[in-house]
Amino acid sequence: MRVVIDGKVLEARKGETVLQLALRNNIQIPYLCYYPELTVSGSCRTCLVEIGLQKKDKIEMMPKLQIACGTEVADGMIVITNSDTIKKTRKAMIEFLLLNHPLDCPICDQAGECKLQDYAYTFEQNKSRFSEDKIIRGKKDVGERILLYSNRCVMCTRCIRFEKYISGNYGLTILKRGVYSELDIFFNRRIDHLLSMNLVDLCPVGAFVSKSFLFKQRAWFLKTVEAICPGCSKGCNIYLDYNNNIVYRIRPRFNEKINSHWMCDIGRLTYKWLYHRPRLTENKIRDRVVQAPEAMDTIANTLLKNKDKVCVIISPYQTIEELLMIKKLADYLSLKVMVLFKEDGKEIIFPKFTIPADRTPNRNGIKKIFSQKIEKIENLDGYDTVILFDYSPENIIKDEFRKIKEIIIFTPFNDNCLFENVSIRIAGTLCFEKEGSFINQNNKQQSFKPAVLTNINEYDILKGVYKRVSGHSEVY
Amino acid sequence: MSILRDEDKDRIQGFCSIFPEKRSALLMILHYLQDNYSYVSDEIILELSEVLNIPATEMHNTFQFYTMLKKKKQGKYVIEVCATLSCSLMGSDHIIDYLENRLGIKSGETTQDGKFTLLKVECLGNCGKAPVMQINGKFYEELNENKIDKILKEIEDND
Amino acid sequence: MTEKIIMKYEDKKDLYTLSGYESTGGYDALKKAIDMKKDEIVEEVKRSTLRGRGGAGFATGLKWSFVPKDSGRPVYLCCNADESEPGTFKDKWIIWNNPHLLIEGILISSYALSVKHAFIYIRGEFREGSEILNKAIEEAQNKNYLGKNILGRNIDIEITVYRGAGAYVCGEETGLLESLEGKRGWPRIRPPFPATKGLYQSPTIINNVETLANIPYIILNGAVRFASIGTPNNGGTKLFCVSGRVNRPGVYELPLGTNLREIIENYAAGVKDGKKIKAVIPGGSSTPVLKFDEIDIPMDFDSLIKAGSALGSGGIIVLDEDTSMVRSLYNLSRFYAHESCGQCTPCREGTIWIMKILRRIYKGDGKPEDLDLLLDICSNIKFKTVCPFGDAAVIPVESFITKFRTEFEEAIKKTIIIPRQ
Repeated sequence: MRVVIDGKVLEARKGETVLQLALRNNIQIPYLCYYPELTVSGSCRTCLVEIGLQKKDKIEMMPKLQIACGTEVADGMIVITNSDTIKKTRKAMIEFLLLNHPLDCPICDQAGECKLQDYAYTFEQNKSRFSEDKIIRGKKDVGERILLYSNRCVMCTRCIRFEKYISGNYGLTILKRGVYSELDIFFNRRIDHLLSMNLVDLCPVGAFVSKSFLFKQRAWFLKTVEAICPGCSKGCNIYLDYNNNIVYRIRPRFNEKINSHWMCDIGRLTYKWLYHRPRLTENKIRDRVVQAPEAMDTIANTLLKNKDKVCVIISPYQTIEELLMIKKLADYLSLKVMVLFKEDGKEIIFPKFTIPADRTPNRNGIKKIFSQKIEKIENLDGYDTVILFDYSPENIIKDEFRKIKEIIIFTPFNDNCLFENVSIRIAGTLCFEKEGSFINQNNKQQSFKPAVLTNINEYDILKGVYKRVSGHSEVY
Repeated sequence: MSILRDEDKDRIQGFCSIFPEKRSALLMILHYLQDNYSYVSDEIILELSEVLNIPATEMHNTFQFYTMLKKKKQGKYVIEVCATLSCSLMGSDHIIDYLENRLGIKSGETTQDGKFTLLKVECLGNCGKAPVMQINGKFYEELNENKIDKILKEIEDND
Repeated sequence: MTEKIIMKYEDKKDLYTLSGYESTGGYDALKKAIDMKKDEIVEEVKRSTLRGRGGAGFATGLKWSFVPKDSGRPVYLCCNADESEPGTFKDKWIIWNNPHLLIEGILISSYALSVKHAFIYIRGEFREGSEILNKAIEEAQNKNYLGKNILGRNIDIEITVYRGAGAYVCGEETGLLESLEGKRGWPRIRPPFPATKGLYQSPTIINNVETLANIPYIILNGAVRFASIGTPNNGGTKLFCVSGRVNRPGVYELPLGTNLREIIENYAAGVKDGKKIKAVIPGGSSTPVLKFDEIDIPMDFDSLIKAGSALGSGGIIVLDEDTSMVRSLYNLSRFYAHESCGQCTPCREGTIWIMKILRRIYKGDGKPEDLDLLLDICSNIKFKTVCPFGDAAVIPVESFITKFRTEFEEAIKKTIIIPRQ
């Protein structure tokens, strides 16, 4: 199917809309109420374009402007998005939207990534002809993790449609009508479900904001890397937004097969793992800070001395790369390997999103590398020494570890396993601080990049230990 | 505590049975509830949501749209004076002034005794008899000061 | 005196009762119709040149023919009785005085379109009207004109009266459907059109009260006779509503094409207190205003379009020489701002902006640039909204300011004092 947009001949897919075709081909048409995966609303009117249809052997332009978001492509269709009419129309729509919009960009979290703000610049809507009083609406605390500045709302209804069709929570209502329409929750029923923060992403302006991000950072200071959420085995694709080595925010990254445009609030707040417990930043033997070579020597000696009585306990939060190195070491010395499993949570099902019961990111990675035989820690009797890789965000070490003669622990957290029998403590990194990959519940391996750079090098220590134990000089 | 009585619930189900989709009955139900409870409170919407098994926000969203559906307690007699063009050309502003003076309230308010609520409304669709008003849904036409006195007196007498 | 169709028996006191209606030949058309083929009825209505009386003037028969025959879904008929256009009160006359005529029209149309369930969506303020209709439906049901096995035939039709609750926009076809489905009256984006996907996503025809009230006559007397009343392609009579500064406001049934000045002078008995006409809104507030020297015009759909206005609903509002155009336009703009549903941007934001500027001008705080600003806002709303409400809202603004610009300029310069009417 051929469609011509602004003179450019494009191959269109049956059933797609003019807007989708344009966006796919990098032709910019402004839009606010459209959002992929949500029903078409057609109400913001910013995507109005001129459309002509092939009628026999001539093109007939439709008398009225049409919404690109609600018009399906047709063979031979002509679309004009750059005429003077369209330019004036876009400017007018933005002017309308700004009439009762507060000029609080300087204190609005959305500034810098606000569609309305961007369009106001793009379409040069920089002077107001509006000299009347604005309508003022309030700020509302609508959920544990989100706020609603209804004053900034542009009535695109993305949030309402999300609440109906994606979360199924039906948490939002509209008060009154016309220009006095106002978004609200009903009867103080707050939006606390685990998809609530998607409303913040969806909102094209700063009406919905995240409490955890509120006033923390201006959007234009943020840098972004693509990563994978470590919150569970779903493997949601994410963006890590960071600045100066601090992660401020996680946002979902579109992946049609895994998470679509969404992610859950648990995953979204996993970056707080970086900050919610004291971090172990140096390697220690007992209370003495040691450099890497000494740590490697000591660990290697312990293993060689006593390998029949050594048990390695790995974590489903570790990356594939780390697990492979451990596997090499364990295989070489025929060490017993167990897993520090996390208890399953409850599977949480929304109409268009499911949070799996397994709330660890890489259990399938362990299964793949160590085969199915890997077992949970049940009985540590008979082992003198444990090499414990504990990357769990919560402190889950139990008293049974006290019975072990000697523990060597790799962990990111300083409050982890402070037992007297811990001889060596190696500082570990969280997934936001390293490159690596996880294998999700559907056996898809996905890699991620770090947002935070550290001096911590537990992988090198692992590699060094293996070199010392095996005598190999190069390890791949 | 339940606000809706069993007979209300029966009526509600009766309204629903008229339509292929029960949600259609909503305006009928809301009119009925307003007639019986003066206005539709959030608590009523909440109960209705359970009776109909429709999310409360869906119903509240609809309810909020319509100006005839009252969001707070109304006087026993709701006086709605048309203020749109044809009535305005025939002096509806004076009618509203007169009623405000007579009742001692501004439009939008209810008298202290809870008897009268005075509202300025848009076109009531009876322009040929301008100026017009409705009291509890009944039309009063070709209004003037004398007529209003008579109407109010009649209400007071029969109350 | 030409023939009347709807108000022929207006002096008959018991016309609203079933017996009164039957004594005028009521329900004879229904009896005749159910012996006709359905397509024949549609064809007859097409030939009659009957055009929708709600405002848009779309050919009724053509509209009916858009209903797909094989959708596998029920077909619905909605009678639009949400009469809310300022200056319009003709459907009110029919409902209060001749409800059975409407019901008979609905029954014949339902039969022709294979409708089993018809709805009358009546504006909420017409509480008395809905009671009258329900009473009439009950009477008709008792005589088996509607319900199951109508008149002993294998035809089932039920009619439900549904009251709106105060929203002008529900008179817009798709706003009406949303409201009837128990939702906000937010008009739908089209396509799909109601004829293919309307109420409950099923094929739906929406016709105005007056339109449907013409159907029995067409069936009884034939399309040719109906079309012979009025002007070419504007067949039949029209209920003209005259209000404003006239001596005898009211509803007058006259052939389409009757001269506007004649309606005002002969039927509405001229302007009050012997004043002169300043302007006339010919077809409800959403039609462009005519100046005093533009009213020698035949009142039919095509003539008014040619004159740059529209017949609309036939709601004639007469403004006399003492009437302030500024105040009148402010009044109408307030109506539209109040009734905008708030769904789409230009209408939601634009109507209130217009109202606020006009209020400022009315109160004496106008600025010279306001008039061009108003016209520009209008052009930014027009044809850019989800539904025709936006167009309707700007029509009075554009026409008042264009035709009476001097008066607006004087108001801004404060060289005139605007009286309270």
